[in-house]
Amino acid sequence: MNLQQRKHPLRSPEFWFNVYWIVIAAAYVAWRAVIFLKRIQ
Amino acid sequence: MEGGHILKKNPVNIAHFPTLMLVIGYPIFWAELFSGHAREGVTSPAVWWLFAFFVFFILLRERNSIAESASQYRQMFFDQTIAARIFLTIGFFLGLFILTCALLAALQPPYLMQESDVMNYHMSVPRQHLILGSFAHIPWSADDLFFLPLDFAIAPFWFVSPLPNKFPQFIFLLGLIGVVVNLCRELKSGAVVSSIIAAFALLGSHGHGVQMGTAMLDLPICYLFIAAIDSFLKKQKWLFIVEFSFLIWSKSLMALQMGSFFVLLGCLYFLMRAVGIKKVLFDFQRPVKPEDVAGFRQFLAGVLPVLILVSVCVGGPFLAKSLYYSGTPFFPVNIGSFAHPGIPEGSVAWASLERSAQFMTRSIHNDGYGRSVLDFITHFWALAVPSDGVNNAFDYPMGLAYLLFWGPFVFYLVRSLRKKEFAVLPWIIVCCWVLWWFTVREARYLYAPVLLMIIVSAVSMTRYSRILLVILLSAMILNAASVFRAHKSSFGQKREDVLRTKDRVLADLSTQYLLNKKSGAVELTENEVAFALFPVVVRRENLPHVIEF
Repeated sequence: MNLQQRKHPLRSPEFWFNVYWIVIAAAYVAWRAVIFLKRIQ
Repeated sequence: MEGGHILKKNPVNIAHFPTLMLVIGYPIFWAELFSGHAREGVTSPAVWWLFAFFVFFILLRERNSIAESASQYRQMFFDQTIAARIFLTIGFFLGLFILTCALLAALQPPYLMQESDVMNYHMSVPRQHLILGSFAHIPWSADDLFFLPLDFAIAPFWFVSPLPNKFPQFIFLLGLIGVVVNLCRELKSGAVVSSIIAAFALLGSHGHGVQMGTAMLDLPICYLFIAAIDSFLKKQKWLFIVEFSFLIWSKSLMALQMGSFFVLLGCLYFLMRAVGIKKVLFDFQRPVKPEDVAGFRQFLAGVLPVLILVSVCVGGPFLAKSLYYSGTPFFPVNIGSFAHPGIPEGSVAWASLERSAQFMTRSIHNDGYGRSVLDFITHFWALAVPSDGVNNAFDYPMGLAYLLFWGPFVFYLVRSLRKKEFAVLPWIIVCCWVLWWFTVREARYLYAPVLLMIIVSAVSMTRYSRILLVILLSAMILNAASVFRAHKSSFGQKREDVLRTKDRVLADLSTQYLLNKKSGAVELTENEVAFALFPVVVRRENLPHVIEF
């Protein structure tokens, strides 16, 4: 099993998974940050 | 030598040790109850000795397969690139940190706000039964009509000390990690990387993390779900029988949900066959071959009679009790459907029991989140994040790890549908989720489906990108911080010092009661009596837990 990142064609699921993970992680962190700021205000 | 023969024929995987606790604990509970040996609320340490003996015996017997498995993991580690090794090392130590926090928390008695169900009935009701030396209905407790076989089976381990201990739940947590690893390896023909990814995702899951180190029973129920699937796939007859029996009778609603679930899954299968499925798979990648079908048929034919027998022993007493007192086999659903001579119609107790059942069933459908199509779509996100403060409409946020695997799962599910495949485990997840949506929508009831989703998605991926690995480590860091924050105040404290004031009062009252050799029930205003070592009676109605009588 190779854990190394490889270059994928644009239509490969792996590419879109990466996009999904980045977007979802960013949205999650932003959401938590907003909730945290609301709480401390 | 029948016992030895059974063990010889059925190798016990060490991940299934918690099942052994149930096998030992359940009969011992009944023995303690009817012998009157635990009338002071404290059980014999024999359960722990028996468990330790079997664990030692099995570890000794399985030492070669354990060593072989460890060498596979070691080999896999050294086969990786430097970056992957760093990921594995950091993940390992984060996991170890989370488990250490959970272990330290599990060494304390229950006292946390999130352990309210434990105080209300998980521990209070079995302990009162031990003290009373009777299985007869406790007249003030509505919760006594619930299905409690899992609680009864673990109770002898909880009550070896006057202050209840929640260490058994930690063993279930370790077992859960073990069966997740097992199931991944079973589905992916022994491959080890996906099992590590799934284990890290479990340890990084905020939703599961909320109950790590607590006395709650949702992680043990989740263990039973995953363990039963693992045992079924491996055709381990006795493990499957015990795990499945305790799973279906673990809660009143669980039996009904399991029944509905099998009907739903069956309908779905026949519907897809009518549409024209080309292939049946276990998950998204391992096909079910004709010889598998024949093997499972043979396995089920052998298992079914014993499963029914064990199921009657495990669930039967509770079903009969619920029927006799509340006129329904599944209190609090549809009470009064049958004759209920235990609590006569028109009595004060019956009116109170009806109010309690109404309270419980109303709260099932009143969680503050809508049920429209739009709500259904948005809940996948709302489930993961806090809505205000630290909680959400589903109680606990499931967190980032769930979200990471949700997208790939949906992708694989749609792809398998387009290929006209029927993927059994993924559809089990979908059926569980749909039933959850229409019944009690608390995040903890999704522990098993979410974990199964993580497993089937992890084993379906052919490569694990660095992006996933880095975010997964971040989820583990967030969960480690969360678990640490939840329990840090109890670290290094004496067991007596963490108690809530009312539990300390109960512990002191117990000492007085036993020292002065008092007898008879003590009237209290509280139903949270896990720390009471004397019989309790509560006369003031406090819905939904305490009923008038």
